[in-house]
Amino acid sequence: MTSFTVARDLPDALALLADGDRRPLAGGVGIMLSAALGRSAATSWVAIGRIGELGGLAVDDDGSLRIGSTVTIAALAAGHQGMPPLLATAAACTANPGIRAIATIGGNIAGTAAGSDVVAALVAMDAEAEIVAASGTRTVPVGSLWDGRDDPSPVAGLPLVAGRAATTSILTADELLRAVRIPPGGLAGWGWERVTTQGRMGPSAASVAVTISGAGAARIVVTAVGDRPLRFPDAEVALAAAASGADDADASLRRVRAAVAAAVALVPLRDDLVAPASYRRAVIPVLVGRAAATALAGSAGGRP
Amino acid sequence: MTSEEGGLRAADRIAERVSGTLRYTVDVDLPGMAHAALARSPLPAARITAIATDRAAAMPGVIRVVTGRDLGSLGLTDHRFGTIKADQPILPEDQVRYVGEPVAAVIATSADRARAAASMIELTLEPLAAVFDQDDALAPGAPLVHDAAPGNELGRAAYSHGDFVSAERATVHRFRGTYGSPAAQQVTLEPQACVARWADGALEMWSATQSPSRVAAEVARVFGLPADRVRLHVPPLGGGYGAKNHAKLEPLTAALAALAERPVRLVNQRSEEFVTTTKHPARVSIETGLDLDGRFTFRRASIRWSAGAYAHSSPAVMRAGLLAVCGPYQVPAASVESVMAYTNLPPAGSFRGLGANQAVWAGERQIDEIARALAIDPLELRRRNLVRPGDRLPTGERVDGAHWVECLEAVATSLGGAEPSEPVTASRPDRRIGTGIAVAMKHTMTPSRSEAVVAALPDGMVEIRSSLVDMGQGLPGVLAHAGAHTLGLPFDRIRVLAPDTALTPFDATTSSSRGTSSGSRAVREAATALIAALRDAAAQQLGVPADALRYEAGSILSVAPGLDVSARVGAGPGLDLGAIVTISGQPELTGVGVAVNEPAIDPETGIPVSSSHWHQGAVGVRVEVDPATGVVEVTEAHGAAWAGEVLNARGARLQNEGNVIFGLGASLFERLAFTDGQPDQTSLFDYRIPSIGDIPARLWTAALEALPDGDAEATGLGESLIPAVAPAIAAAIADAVGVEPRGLPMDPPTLLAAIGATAAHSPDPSAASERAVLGPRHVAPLAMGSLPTTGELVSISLDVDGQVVRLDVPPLEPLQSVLSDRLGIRTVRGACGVGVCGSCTVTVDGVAIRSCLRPAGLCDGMTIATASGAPPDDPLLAAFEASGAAQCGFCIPGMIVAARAVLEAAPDADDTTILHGLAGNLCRCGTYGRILDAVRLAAGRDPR
Repeated sequence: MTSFTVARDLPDALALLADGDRRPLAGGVGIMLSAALGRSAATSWVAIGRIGELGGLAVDDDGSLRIGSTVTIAALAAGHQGMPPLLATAAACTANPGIRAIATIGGNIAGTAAGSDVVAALVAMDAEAEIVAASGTRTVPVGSLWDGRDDPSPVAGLPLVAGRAATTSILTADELLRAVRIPPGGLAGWGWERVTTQGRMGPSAASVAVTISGAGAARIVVTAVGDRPLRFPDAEVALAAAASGADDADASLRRVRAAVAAAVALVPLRDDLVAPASYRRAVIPVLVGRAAATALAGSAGGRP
Repeated sequence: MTSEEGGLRAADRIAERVSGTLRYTVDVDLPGMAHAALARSPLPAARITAIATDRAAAMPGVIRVVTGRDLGSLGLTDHRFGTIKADQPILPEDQVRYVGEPVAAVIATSADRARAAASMIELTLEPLAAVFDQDDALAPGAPLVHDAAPGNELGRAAYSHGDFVSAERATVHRFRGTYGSPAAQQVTLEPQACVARWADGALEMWSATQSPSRVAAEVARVFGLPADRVRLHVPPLGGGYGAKNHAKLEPLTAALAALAERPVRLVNQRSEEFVTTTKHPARVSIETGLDLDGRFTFRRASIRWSAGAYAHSSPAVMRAGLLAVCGPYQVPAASVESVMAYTNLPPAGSFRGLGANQAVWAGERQIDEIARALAIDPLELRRRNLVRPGDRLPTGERVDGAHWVECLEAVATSLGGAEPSEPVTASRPDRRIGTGIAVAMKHTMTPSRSEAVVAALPDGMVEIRSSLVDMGQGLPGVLAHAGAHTLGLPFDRIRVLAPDTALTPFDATTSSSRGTSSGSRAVREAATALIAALRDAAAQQLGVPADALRYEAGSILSVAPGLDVSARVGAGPGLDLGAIVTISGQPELTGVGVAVNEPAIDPETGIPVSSSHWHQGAVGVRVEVDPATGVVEVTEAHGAAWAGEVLNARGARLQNEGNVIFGLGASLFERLAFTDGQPDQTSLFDYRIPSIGDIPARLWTAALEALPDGDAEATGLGESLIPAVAPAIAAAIADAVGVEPRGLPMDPPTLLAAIGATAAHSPDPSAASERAVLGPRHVAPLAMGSLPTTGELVSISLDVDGQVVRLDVPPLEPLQSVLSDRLGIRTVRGACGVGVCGSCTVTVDGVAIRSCLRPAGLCDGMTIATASGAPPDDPLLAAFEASGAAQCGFCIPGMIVAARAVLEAAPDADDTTILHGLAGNLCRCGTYGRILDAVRLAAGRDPR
């Protein structure tokens, strides 16, 4: 038997989710797609798309941008005032216009897609996820939404689990992603690279977001290559050194590429119809190198 | 716009395609009609031990469950069918031979119920040894796909011509290579579909088929019926590309309708398309010798094909490859063998470019390798060796209508020659550019026959009756052109009847790019006969000798002094053809025409030629290759095809552009993979086709016509360029980055591996290009998943195109199925069901969305606008019509909704905005260039 309940408001939604049997449904894209592809077993849903507290964009008092979880990918891609260009760029690469118009940022993060373009951008901007349940609220970095599961990778900074195809986050069945918060401060530079293997509209084989913060910290994030976003601490240190002017840019970028290549050599990567793992292993350092170069050029006075 | 352009568009029903009012076979809905769904084999080879149908039969709405045994009551003359070779069971009783083979059918009151029940059928199968690769299948001791086909050999064809002893003596350079092509899927947006109804022992069918006459005859044979007891209607197809050639669902649908004793409709789901017909995987080994002057001395080739489990068009594919593999070159000695192997894969069938694709890929690819190895300009190497009129083809037959050199030169000029006058630079510093060129040859079905009837009716209209099928390629326009010009009538007095075997005469098939040539000749002959019939009828009624009368522009006029024809009826300078029909007392006057593609006899050898004429083309491309990622962007494509005479300029251009775009997918990323006989891809989510974002920024094509005194016979353009697309792209890649691709597709992983192998001095790029399937694979189920339909319903209220409707629906039923199935809105199509194709695009509260991924339960109170709601005078529809921006038309309503969203957001949208906005709406016919023109026009810009 199926059940379908439209939540009146957030407390109602959380009460309905509390018993852990129902799944939240906002735009419905992920659930409908999983069902159409024969990959879904859920039968009970709570519709949350019309809950006002889950929607909307706002700039908080501290200057951070708060994006409600039912904001559509199209709204991100539109890149209106205040939307970070990296996030708008990543959102505009997602699926197609007719899907972006209904898919939500919450579903994109929490529902099905640790591999999403939007996730790469959010993690690169050190975004936080506000998670609510009937029992309370917690805030975790978006980049940690896939952490804390069993069997952490032996490779420092690359918490990828071998052979596991799971893509759902650490959200428990009674929890909802309420909003995503992007910290204030802006970026000194950013870069974005993405490669498809099945034509322009094909799915990403690797999506890369690189940022250099106003304070000179670098973040390098790769998605669509495993079951969670990949980070590269050694390469980030090398890139930050160049951003601060402590190191020569070309030499730094060589070190970035080498560090990424060394890291991806040691972790299992997704091996699927989009691309074999060997392909992802070969192109990740290339794409990171390009995105890092773009970010560096921005931080040195190029594009913001 | 000239009246001729408007007339051609009217004949091709562009307005109906743009407004979404054209009806396809999937739209046929008969009173009392039931729906069928199939249970399919999950194993590639197995003995059927038991089929348990009780649970399925007990499901709600089920009328009957049918297995192979039930067919016994029908008294069939043959339980197997096949238009060329009858080797496929309608429903197998004892054995299955591929994953996806139908084993049982459920007939129910709705398609959903039939599918739900079909999933309850339990099969007990005893697995048998299976074989999937053609070389494995042909090896001694291989498991047999059919006990009756020893060695798994479905067929073998060969020719040998010339003196190999002297050829070897002259040979200075020698090259060998093996070139692979994988399976692919045609991806018609309208799936295979058939409706059957029996009455008084006669069968009436509607089917999306490219071969009405042959399919009707095959169904009549299977059921032991005289030909006139089977009537087959063929509405316009929502895409063909070979997929709908030969019998597919028709014998089974007819059997189900007989057993259910009511009309039955059977429509493939998208997943089932991937196991119904595919492109033949092939491996081609070629050896070529050249003399000191760079002239070919010999070519030897061996082609091995995988037919899958049943023959379908395999014998024709085998022959097409045999004839094309050595190319349109002067080759003094040639020896070719083409072997078709049965394998435990879904049956491969016709695929746009039939057999020539795989063969030309190999033959042209090797010529480019040779050019590079010998440091000869690839254009010059081809110029040196191409046949000219009167030369002999590698088969040894003389060819008079040889125009490959003209095609090649036209492309070379457009591409800028081997050395462009202005250096072209890559769009990004990390990319390299390259150019490549290739020629294509493809035979046409010989012998073959087209008949046409041209009828004058009392109302003054002329009706053209032909069983050639309209699949958006512009054939009705071609036939109308032939009729209008022969009769001297405006297009608005001509109508072309859709195939209906009770009314339209025999035609071999709408494939092999033969319709333009055969159809136009048959119609011209029929129209000429009609003129004679009109003159005779008029003479008889007027009591004058026929030679006192002449025909001109729809009227009979007098040539005899003192004989005033018009006086007899009181108006006009002559006697209108409608008036002649009326006074003749006949319901109509007709002329019959027959065009037979008979092989000419070679005067020197006495041997019939293999093709009445050749499809000839050349393609040149410029690419940018990112050597660090293997990504290839085709920035320019130039194609020239021999047309002889262009009858339908709009259709000709779209055929050429469609060839290039169709070819891009197979060149760069399309590959239908199987793991142990299971298809890796059964959806458009996993199997991608080119989008508007993939078309070259510059796409130039030409349909070359003969000089006034030249070889002006109109020739079809459906496949003249496609075989050359992949080798041209490969040549450009080789030019850019120095690797020589030998396998398809040249996708980024394959290409990057080859570039890496070259960098590491690996001697064998083909090993890298035929990439192994790596790691664990998701194997999609054969039946598409669906959300549970049991459980609570929700009440929703929708404003659909201004009408408020209230419905109780399962909450997660796709909005698309509510609109298209429950409300019958035909402009909303669920062609992929996974949000990829865009044929279901509608606006919800003003926002264009994929309705297949939108739960209906979330749409309560919302306002929905479909393409059906557009007013007839809508400027966007007018722009699409004026631009002729439709081929089969199945994608167009969704495309228009998406285009409207683009223009509402940006009324003067630039190309980048348009391309970005339409990139998610797929058109398999490749109409993208004209669609872009239409949206530019609507945005108030010059389409150029």
